[in-house]
Amino acid sequence: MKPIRVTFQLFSRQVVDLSETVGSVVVLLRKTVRSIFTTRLDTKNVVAQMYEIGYQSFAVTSLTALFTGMVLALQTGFSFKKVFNEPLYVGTVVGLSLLKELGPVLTAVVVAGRVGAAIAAEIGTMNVTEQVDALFTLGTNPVRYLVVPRFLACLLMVPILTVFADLIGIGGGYLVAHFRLGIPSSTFWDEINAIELEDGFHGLIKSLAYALIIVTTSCYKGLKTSGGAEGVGRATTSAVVVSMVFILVSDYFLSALLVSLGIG
Amino acid sequence: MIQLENVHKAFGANRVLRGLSLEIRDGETLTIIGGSGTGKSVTLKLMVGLLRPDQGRVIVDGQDIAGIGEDALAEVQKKFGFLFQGAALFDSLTVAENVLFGVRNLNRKSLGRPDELVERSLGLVGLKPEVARLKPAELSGGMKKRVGLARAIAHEPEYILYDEPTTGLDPIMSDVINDLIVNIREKLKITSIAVTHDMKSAYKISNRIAMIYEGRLVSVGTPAEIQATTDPVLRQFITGSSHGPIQMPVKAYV
Repeated sequence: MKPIRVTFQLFSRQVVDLSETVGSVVVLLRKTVRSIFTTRLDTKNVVAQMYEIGYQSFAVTSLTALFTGMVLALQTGFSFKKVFNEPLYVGTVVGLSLLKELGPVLTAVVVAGRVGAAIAAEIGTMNVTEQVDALFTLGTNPVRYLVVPRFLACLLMVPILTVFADLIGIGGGYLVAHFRLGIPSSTFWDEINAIELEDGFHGLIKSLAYALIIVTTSCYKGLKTSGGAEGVGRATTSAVVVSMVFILVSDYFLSALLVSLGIG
Repeated sequence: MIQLENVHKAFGANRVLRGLSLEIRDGETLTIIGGSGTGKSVTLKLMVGLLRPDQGRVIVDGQDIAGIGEDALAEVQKKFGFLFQGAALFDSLTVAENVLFGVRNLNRKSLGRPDELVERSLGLVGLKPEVARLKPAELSGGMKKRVGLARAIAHEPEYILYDEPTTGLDPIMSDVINDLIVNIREKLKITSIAVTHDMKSAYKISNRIAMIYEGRLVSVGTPAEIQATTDPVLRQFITGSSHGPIQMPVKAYV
C-alpha cells in the first residue's frame, strides 16, 4: 500500500503546485491589467522596453523569417515538381504557411528565447538583490514599474515583428521561387494576392496570444525568483522553456478555435 | 509608535515567528538581535508591509496594517525608510536618480530643486556631491550602504529600518556607519529599528536592545542592562559562545 500512497501524495502535491502557479499567474495578469487602467503610465519606460523588445529583436526575427521563407519555397517547389512535374502553388504555400503559422510561431519562439530570458533574468536579479522590495518601500508598485511597461511593449511589438517576418519571409520565398525555381514573378505574386486578409488576421491574433504567454511567464518567473545566482539561472531557463512549450501547444488549440470561428 | 502583537509567520514548514510581541517607542533606536534565521529581517519586513503576518497584529501609529489593501498600505509605507542588507540600489539608475526615486514616487509634490535635495541627502551620509552622477556598480560596499541610507532618508520618513547595516563591511567602515546612524537619529529626530548580530554596533547605536529566540521575544533592555544580563540565552549570544542553551544547526563533515 505504501508505494500507492506515496505516488498519490506526490501526484496530489503536483496538482496543488500547478493550481497555485496558475492562480498566481492569473492574479499577476489581473493586477497588470488593473494597473494599466488605474495608474499613470510610465511612457519613458514603455518606449525603452519597446526599443528593447521590438527594435533589438528585429534583426534576428527577420533573418529567421527570410531563411524560413526561402527553404519553404525550395522544398515546396521541388516536392511539387516530383508529384506534378511542375513547381505549382509555391506562392500560395509560402504565403499561407508564413501568414498563418510560421510567421507568428517562429517570431514568438525567437522572442521567447531572447526577450523572455532577458526579462526573467533582469527581474529575477532585482528580486534576489531586494531591489523589488526596495521599489515597494519607495512607493512604487513593482507590477506598475516592472511588469506593465514590458507587458505593453511585448503586446505591441510582437505582432509588429510578426508582420515584418511575414513580409520578409514571403520576400525570401519569392527570391527562391523566381531565381532558383524559375517561377514567373506574376504567377508568384498573383498567388500571394489571392490570399485573403482573414488569413493574416489569423496569424496576428495568434501572435498577440503568444506575446501574452511570453511576457506573463517571464515576468512571473522573475518575480518568483529566489536562491541567488542559481535561482536566477533556473528562473531564466524555466521562463524560456515554459513559454516555448505553451506557444507550441496553444498553437494547435488557437488555430482550431480560429478556424472554427471562420477566421482564416 | 509601532506595536507587534502575538505575530506568527511561517514559510512552508519553517515557523519563523511564533507569537512575537514587541513595541517600538517614538524617537528611540531599538536594535533587534538574534541568530541567523531567527526572523529578525522578517520582523522588519512585517513592519513595513513587505510581508503579511499569518496571525497577530502589526500596528503602526494606531493602524493595524496586517490586513489592509495595497493603496492604504502605500500610504503607511510613506512613513518608512528602509536600508536593505545589500543596499538594493537600482543598478540602471545613477546615485542621484536612486536618491530621488522615493521622493518622486512617495511625495508626489513638486521637488523644488532636486539637485539640492540630492546634495543635502548625500551630505547627511558623508558623501560628496560628485558621487551623484555615478552608477551603483562604481561604488564600494560602504558607499553603497551610504547611498542606500541617503535614499532611505530623502523623503523624510518618520521611521527608518536598518537590515544588518554593518554586515560585509570592514570594522572601520562599520563604525562609520554606526556613527551615521546615531547622527541621523539626532539630526532628524527619527525612530530607528535596526537588525544586527554585530554586538558592538548594537551597543553603540541603540537605546534599547531586543533579542528574538525561537520566534519569540526573550529579552529587551538598555545596552547596559543587556550587558549585565544573567539570562543564559542572552548571555551566550552577546558573548558569542558556542556552548550554552542556543544550539545552532551545524552540518557535520566526517
